[in-house]
Amino acid sequence: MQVMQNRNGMNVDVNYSLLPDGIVPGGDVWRNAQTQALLMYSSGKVTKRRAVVSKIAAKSVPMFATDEYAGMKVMDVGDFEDLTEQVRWPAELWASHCSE
Amino acid sequence: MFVHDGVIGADRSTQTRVRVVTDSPDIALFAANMLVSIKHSAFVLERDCVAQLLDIFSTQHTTPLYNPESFPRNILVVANTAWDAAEPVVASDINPDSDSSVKATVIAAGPVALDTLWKAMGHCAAQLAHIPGWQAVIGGGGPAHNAEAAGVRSLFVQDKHWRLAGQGAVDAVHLTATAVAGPKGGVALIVSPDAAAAAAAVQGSLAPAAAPVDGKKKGGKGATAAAGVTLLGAHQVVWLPTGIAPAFAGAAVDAKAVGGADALPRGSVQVAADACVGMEVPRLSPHPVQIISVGGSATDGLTEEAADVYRARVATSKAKEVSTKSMQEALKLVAAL
Repeated sequence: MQVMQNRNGMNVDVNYSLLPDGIVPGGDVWRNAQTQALLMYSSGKVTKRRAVVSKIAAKSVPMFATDEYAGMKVMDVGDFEDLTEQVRWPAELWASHCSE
Repeated sequence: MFVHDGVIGADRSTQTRVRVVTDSPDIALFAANMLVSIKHSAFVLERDCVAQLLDIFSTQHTTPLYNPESFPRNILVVANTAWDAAEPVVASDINPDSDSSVKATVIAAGPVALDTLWKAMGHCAAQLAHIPGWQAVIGGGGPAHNAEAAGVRSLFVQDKHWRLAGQGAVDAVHLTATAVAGPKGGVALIVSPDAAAAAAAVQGSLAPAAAPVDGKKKGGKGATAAAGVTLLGAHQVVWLPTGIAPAFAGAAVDAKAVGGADALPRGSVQVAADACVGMEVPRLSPHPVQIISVGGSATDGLTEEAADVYRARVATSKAKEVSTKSMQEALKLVAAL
């Protein structure tokens, strides 16, 4: 019988804790990683003072909620669940992106 | 994949636990800067325990948050920056009938701006506050449960374990406001829908010398009358019967307003035009003496229940409500506190 061994980026407890939320890790998972590690993994530019200028081309986007709230558009619960499935699946997406 | 477990709300009794799952180390840095850390809340709790020497019978660890499997995440944020199936979007859902406890989910699909992320998280925390079944209260250990079952709960010495409360935090009001202290120590809440107040306060805290009180530009675009202004909590605060607790430990503001990428302290992250900076903010500050609304009202977006609590708190704390048209005017008022 093979017993899973914990190592950096592969902690059995962390991986199992993601399952109830429907997330199946396809690669290494880092929980509450130290700043130094995040700086190392970032593909952005690290400044002299050790801050990161990210390469993510982020933009302002509309905010949706499944109920009526001020400043938010209403999204159908079914559409929200579809979006959730798309975003957290497939696991390969997580794995391929993290290994870049 | 990166997972960050943290909390919204520096006050232990009303904080909401958040798990951020993301494919990007930059978003993980954002979460690490913005969310109140578990270690910090554990430290505060231990300090409180020392102060309460009655707790001599407690021998077990007081914070059940370190185990990832038992981390009771009330808000789950899934941020997949690589998602490109359609236009980027941020969506949230609050499920009061979840199996374990009340739960909210935030989905950030694609490369989204940082301000939408903290707004979605803050929105969920504010909505959860008044729903039963998420709040942790003292008294959750085995002996406490046994004492409750035996009907002798009132005789039991608190064991400092935590359990889910039967009701929401009806006394906690989440306000979209930045808490600042003036040069003389007076606390003010600047109610503003954008992040300008936080930017000014961060600027004042990071480089007070570059921000003259007279409002003349000195440090480039964005220099404001923020000298002597201390940040107590950016973007969102929780107004409790005991004072003001920051919802976030950091601030996400316009990078230019705080001096650009080269001025950012270690561990900060800039995504597009926004910079996220982790700040040293107090767990609890005194009640505000002034509530300054810039282009809106403090009760905008509050539920009727929360608005009632807000009005009652304004009355009991004798805070003065003021409206201004610009952030400059608001900062001048703070400079006099």
